[in-house]
Amino acid sequence: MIDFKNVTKTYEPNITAVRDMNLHIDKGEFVFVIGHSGAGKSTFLKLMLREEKATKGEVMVNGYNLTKIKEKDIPYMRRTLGVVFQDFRLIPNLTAYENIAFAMRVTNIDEKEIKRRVPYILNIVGLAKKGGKLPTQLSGGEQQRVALARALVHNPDLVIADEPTGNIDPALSLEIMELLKAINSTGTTVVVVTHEHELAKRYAQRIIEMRKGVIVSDTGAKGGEVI
Amino acid sequence: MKFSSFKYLFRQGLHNFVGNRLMSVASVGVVTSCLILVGVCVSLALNVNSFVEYLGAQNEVIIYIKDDAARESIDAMDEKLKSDADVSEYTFVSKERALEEQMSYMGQYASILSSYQGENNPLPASYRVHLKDLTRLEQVSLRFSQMDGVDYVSTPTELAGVLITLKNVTYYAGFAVLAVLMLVSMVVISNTIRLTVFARRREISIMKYVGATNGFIQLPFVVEGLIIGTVSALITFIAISAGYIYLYSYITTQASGFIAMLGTCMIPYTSLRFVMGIGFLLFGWIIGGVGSAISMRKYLKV
Repeated sequence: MIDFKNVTKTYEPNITAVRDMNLHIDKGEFVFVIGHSGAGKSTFLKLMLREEKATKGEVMVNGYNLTKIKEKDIPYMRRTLGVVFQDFRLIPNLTAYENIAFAMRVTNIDEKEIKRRVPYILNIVGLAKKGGKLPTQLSGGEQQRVALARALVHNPDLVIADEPTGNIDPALSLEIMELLKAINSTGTTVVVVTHEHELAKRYAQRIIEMRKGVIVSDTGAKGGEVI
Repeated sequence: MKFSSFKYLFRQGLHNFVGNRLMSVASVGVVTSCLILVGVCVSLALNVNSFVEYLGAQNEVIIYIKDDAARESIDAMDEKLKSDADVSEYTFVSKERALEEQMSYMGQYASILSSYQGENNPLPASYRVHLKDLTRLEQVSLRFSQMDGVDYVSTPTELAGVLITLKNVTYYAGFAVLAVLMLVSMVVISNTIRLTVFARRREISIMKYVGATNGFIQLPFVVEGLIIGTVSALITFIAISAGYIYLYSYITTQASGFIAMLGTCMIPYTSLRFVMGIGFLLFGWIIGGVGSAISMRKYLKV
């Protein structure tokens, strides 16, 4: 599913954000990647999304080798995963329904399929009745659920969440986490990147901790492996 | 690409054009101005060309024949001119015909020349030759002067030189103006679209994350550019057509003197409109398409 082999990412002029990272995440895992700011979490995320290319080593995600992938294949790779951001990244002038439909439309899916799938996904995230609302008319938790619904439209094998609870209050954070857990229970791999250790301890099967671009601990992996 | 996607992209492009209306109007304005200048330059160049060709056709090379030339030499000349690839047409002017012409120029004073008729006629017989290509004037004249029985060849070299220069200047100047205006229009369109792209950078980044291809992301902006180009081309076509038709009818019916003479070789609107319409549209599309592609590049790197 996700494989990092000796991955190093250096930014110009001379800042190493990720150093010699080795990591394997299996299908169906629920993994938290934690660390303070500057630990290299964002770079790890960008490497998985192929927003950045590894300076050294090999990154494999969903069967794509991201070190060798051709520019034109990147969009197709991204369709195999769903991403959720801290700031939701919803389009403000589109309704919840339209925001989700947008993600399908721009990947060439026809209207019939969109009409069938969007209400289904809205139902999964518990927003069946709020499809017609604009993001500004929704609470932070609801907005994040719309973003999550959007991440799920392509029926991805992997969902990556970047600080998904960072902008919402604690009670609602739990709702989002429950939702991610439910998604994980259907066999989808979930990777949550966060600085909230407490949340991680409560939900994760596996916690990977990063510090200064290096993995310092990896606990709870399948087979009880501890580095 | 599916039809529904195509419809979506087209709608988005139109939406950008309308949503960004102030800038759209501004860029249509600038592009139209450029296109009008292009239209004026091109129609001017085409007409100068037509005028030069007309003047060129009026220019004759005159081959004066020696008075004592044998009948055979004159016949041989005739044969040579007939088969010469550079000659478009020629006429033989006998000594008698030359005198008649001279007398008709003199009008009421023609009788002065009456004593030169017959044996006393000092005017030589000649061939008046029109050439196909004025640039070959000198070589051809030289060839003529080497024919048997030729006294001398009169060549309008200077005038031909002026005409050729005029033709070249219009050609190169027209081309330079066209290139500059094309560049200006492209920059203007690309700036307008850059504003739309900037306003929608959030959407673009979301599109990238959900796996939209670069082509798909770019298309609405290219459509926006093409719309600007098309609207400008249409306005220009109407404006230039109206102007040309008015000028043509004025010059061919009401003008006098030199301007009226220009009218005889002015290209009629009907033979220009097709080329003009297609030309403007192509120009508009090229700058619209290229302009929007330029402005997109930076934002596709996510």
